[in-house]
Amino acid sequence: MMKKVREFDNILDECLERVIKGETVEVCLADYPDYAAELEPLLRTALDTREAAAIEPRPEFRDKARYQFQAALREMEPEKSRGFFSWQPRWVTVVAIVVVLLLAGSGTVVAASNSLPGEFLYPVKMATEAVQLVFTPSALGKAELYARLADKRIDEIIRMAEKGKVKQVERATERLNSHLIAMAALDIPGGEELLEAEIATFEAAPAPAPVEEAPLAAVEEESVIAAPRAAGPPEDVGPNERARLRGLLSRHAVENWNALLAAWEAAPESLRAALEQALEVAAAGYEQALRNLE
Amino acid sequence: MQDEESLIRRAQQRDPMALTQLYEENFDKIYRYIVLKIGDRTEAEDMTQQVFLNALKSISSYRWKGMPFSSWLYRIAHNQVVDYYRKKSKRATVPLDESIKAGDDDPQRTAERVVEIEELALATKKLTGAQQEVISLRFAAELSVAEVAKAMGKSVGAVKALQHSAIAALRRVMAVGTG
Repeated sequence: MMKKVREFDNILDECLERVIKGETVEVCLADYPDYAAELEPLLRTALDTREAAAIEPRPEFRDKARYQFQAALREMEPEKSRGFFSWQPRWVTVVAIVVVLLLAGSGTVVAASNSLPGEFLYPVKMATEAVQLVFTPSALGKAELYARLADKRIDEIIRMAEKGKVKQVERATERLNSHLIAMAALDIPGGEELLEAEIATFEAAPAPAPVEEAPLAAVEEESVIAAPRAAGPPEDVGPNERARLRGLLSRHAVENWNALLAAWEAAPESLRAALEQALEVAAAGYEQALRNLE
Repeated sequence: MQDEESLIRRAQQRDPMALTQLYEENFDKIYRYIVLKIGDRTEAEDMTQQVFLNALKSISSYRWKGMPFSSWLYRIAHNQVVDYYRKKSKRATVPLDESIKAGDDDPQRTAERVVEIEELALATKKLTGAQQEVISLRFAAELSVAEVAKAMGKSVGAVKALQHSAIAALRRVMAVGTG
């Protein structure tokens, strides 16, 4: 008896799914003639229930709610980058910093800097980057560092895609997203000065002075660990520094986007969704980071 | 297609794109779930908004355990509904038919729809708590049986049995109502 009831529960659910997907009630009843008399009224009631419940929110309400949700989103403080150390107990942080400092300049750290996700030395690479962030107190320095880390993540995404590793592409994309969000959340001084300087330049001369761009590659990997900088007075970020960073970042955004696009074009179908996600994250992340420098 | 776990991880980092995607994917379903639970469209609008604002505030505390993200939202919505009924006795409520009128421009269609929703909302109140939950999740939120099972912490077989008894009970209640 119990078995029969369970069988009927299954048949009812199967028919319900089929009818929801577009089959007629009659077709399903024809497949189960022994149960048809009991099934039909239940299916009709279920369909009536589903139809009655399928109300749409009013468009005005939908717009208002969406606006309020987006406003609440804008008011939220971006989450501090949940980097390597945020998941570890304090003693692990201390030990990791000491070990990385001791290894600085050694072959291990240099080798780790070229490692890829999933490789033995990759956690050393992550720890090294986290230590670099700890010893980069200024917002401008952090922004440059995040820009370099984003370049590394994009390189990893492309290399992992070449190896056909979808999961690793997704993980590297998440790390890329964290870097870009963290960069967009930095409080980099000099924005008002820049605006004033731009107005002054505009009023004083028809052509603004060209902004000198220091190549990012020149400062990258000078040493694997950046020398610890003493936390001094508030950084003096002139408008040119800010504009230099903005120019640099926009150049990297374009180059990285093109590299990802080329990887997407060359990728097999199985990798395309993951690379599309990376393209989406890069486009939105760089846009937010650049807006933060306006 | 990016998996939900990675989408949620991005949302927990307060990534606006990921949060907006979760919002858009679940908004209508949460709204329907609440309307069917309380039978009051105006109140349901405020409560739906509140569900998403609450979710936004507490998303960092969400822990991925292989359950669909929507089941967490339905739990927040369910708590809102419980709160609503707790406070209901202390204040006047907007009658269902009054609130529905605002939502549809076609009077003929509105009249039909009002009867259906009113009937349904009243009829579901006659069911047991578990039956009500299955009807709301299965037909308003449009979850599959497997998703309902995860959201309610029951086996698939138990949900199928509940679905059967709930539909049969609804049919009886509605037949009495129209008879």
